[in-house]
Amino acid sequence: MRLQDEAIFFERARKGAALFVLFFLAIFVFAPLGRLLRETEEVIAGILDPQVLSAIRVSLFQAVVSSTLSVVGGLILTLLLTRARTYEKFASLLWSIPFSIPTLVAVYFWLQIIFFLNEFGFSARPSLFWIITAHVAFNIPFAALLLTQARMKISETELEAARTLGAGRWVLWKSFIFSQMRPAFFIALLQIYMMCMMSFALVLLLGGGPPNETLELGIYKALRAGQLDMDRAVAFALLQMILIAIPGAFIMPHLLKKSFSWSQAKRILPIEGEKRHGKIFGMLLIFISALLSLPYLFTSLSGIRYFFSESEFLFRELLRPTLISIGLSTATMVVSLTLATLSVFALQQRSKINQWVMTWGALPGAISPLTLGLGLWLLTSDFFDPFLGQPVFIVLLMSLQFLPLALRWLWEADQRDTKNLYGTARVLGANPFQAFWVSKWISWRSSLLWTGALIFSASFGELAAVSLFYSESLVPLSLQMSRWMGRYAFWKADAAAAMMILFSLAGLIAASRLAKSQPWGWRRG
Amino acid sequence: MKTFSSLSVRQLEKKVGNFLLRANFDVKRGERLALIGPSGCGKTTLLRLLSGLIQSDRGEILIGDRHLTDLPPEKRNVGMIFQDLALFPQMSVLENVTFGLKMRDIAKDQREQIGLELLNRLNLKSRAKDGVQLLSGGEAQRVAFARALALKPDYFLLDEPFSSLDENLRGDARSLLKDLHAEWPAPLVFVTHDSRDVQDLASRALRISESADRSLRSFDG
Repeated sequence: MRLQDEAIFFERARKGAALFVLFFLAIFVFAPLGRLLRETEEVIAGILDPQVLSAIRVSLFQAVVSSTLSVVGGLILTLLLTRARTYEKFASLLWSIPFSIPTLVAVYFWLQIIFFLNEFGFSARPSLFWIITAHVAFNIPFAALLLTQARMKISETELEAARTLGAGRWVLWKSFIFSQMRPAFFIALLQIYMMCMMSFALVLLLGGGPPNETLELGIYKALRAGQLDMDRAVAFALLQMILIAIPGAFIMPHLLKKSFSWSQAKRILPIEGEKRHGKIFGMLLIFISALLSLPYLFTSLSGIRYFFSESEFLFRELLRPTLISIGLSTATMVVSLTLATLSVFALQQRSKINQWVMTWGALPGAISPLTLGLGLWLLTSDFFDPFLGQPVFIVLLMSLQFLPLALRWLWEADQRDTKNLYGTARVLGANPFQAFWVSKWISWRSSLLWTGALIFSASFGELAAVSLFYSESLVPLSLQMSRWMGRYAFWKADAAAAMMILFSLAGLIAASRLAKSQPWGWRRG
Repeated sequence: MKTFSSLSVRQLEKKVGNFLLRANFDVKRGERLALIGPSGCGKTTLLRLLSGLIQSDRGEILIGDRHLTDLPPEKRNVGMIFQDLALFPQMSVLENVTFGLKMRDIAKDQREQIGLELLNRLNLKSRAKDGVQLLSGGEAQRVAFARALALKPDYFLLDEPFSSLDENLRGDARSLLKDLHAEWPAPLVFVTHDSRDVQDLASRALRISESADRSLRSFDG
């Protein structure tokens, strides 16, 4: 192929990929949202309803308090890490554990704590306190990861130069460290606020009923718990979108002014002076990090014992939901990775269409699965009965939910500097695909594997996307587990949690083994 | 009129990885001492010890009779230039140059006057309000010089100060540094890999000496 033909071929292919992604998003994101937005009069009617007002108050309160406490906690862990950098790898590993744990498993851990406290005579019961506690504990590691990434980017020579020029520790913190971490601080705050606002399983199971009802829970209850009340569901969904959009509109323009790139992380050189008491800070860091991460694993794995003692239950009640979950999660992983890969391929060329791909591709991250699901419901209920179970819609909602994550990680993999390797391969006679194989595929492969494993794991425990379109013949493990928890069948929930964790860990272990090994056929080359 | 004292490094020791770094030398007023040796031998570590960015295990650093060994870097009054210059990207040229003065609580008017005089001396006055990202390599180099000089330091430490410049600019930068040092002849220690730097700039050079098993590396002179 001549060079010019090759350029034309790739330009067309990228344009095709961009159009496909945009078409997909237009049908499955913008059309449902547009349908939802046609119902604006419901908001005006709904906002005067005391139940809606209460949901707004609870949603805002728990999201603001949880996100603030999480980011402050994450900042403290980041500061501990800068005093004990030898513990960095271990701490990061511990912080990444909650990512790989299905939310439902974390919820289950907190439910067990509540019942444990009751057994010891404390009168603990699901309440707003537990919603906030669980949100904070679950999100501190996430905030710490984001803030540490930002801290790593601060040039250590810059700090050293400031010190030799007379800057004390307070000036260093205020003028150099925090001023450069500020964008990450607000990004973390915004992301956690959005996640808490859209939180479903956790609020459903730890909230304890109507006084603690959030907007997200309101959508579900108006549709599938009790009488179908479409107007109220729409009011809840639109108000939730507004409450998510307002802080975003305030923070995002400020963040866009700052150049904030995820892919330029620099290692921090250790400052000898800061190593004093490093061991104490390090132990404290590991202790807190372990406390925030490991209990989920241990509590859930305790259910494995039922696999051996209750084989009849295993085959009669657990097998079918597990198989359904495997199917839904695998499909979700494939759809998400395909969309993200096509988007990244399209984004390699700068054009107006591709700017839309980037912006629109990130949009589903700011819309809750129930809101989007409600839009789909309104749009399609004349053709597809949601009460009969719609696995395609469940997969779509989950795929769109994880698309921003997949897009970001694959984009980072693509941006790793391999230009010289690619160029060398080309001048040595490789065609574009062979050159991609020897230069970019290494970073792509590991990102694909890790992202795929995390999506698989997260969708295994996803409840919100499932809750609108399930039927009695389509009950995945997450829904079954939440039912067992609701009926106080804790030993069954225990076994379900163990099953979820086992599948999550299996996916992650497989990804880590494959990512470490040589690419397929590498040695032959 | 400022009187300049010698920089004395007495039996300074630091365990670095699998070797012990030792230094024992004096740098007099107006002297420019070059530290030379292969990569990874401990030259930059020695500069970081002299600046206070890392703490020595043993030994003393003095400027005249004043003990610096236990002082943090901000108390040492050192003019240091880093290999990558370490200009603060969020600040303008003038803010970079006057940053050390601000840390010493010098009034804004006064520090701006000092900064602008220095920038004028280095033909950078017109760039005073520009961001440092807009500077060329040579200009950035001069800003780093100005920032170190603005403090009227007791001694200078330069870590491969010309490595980011191409050969043509290096010659000019060496001449400029010599001129500036003649105007403020505090003891100056610099690290380099370039023999031209040693030839054109150094009053004296110290090459690292290693024990047979390489467990002890020292700069003695």
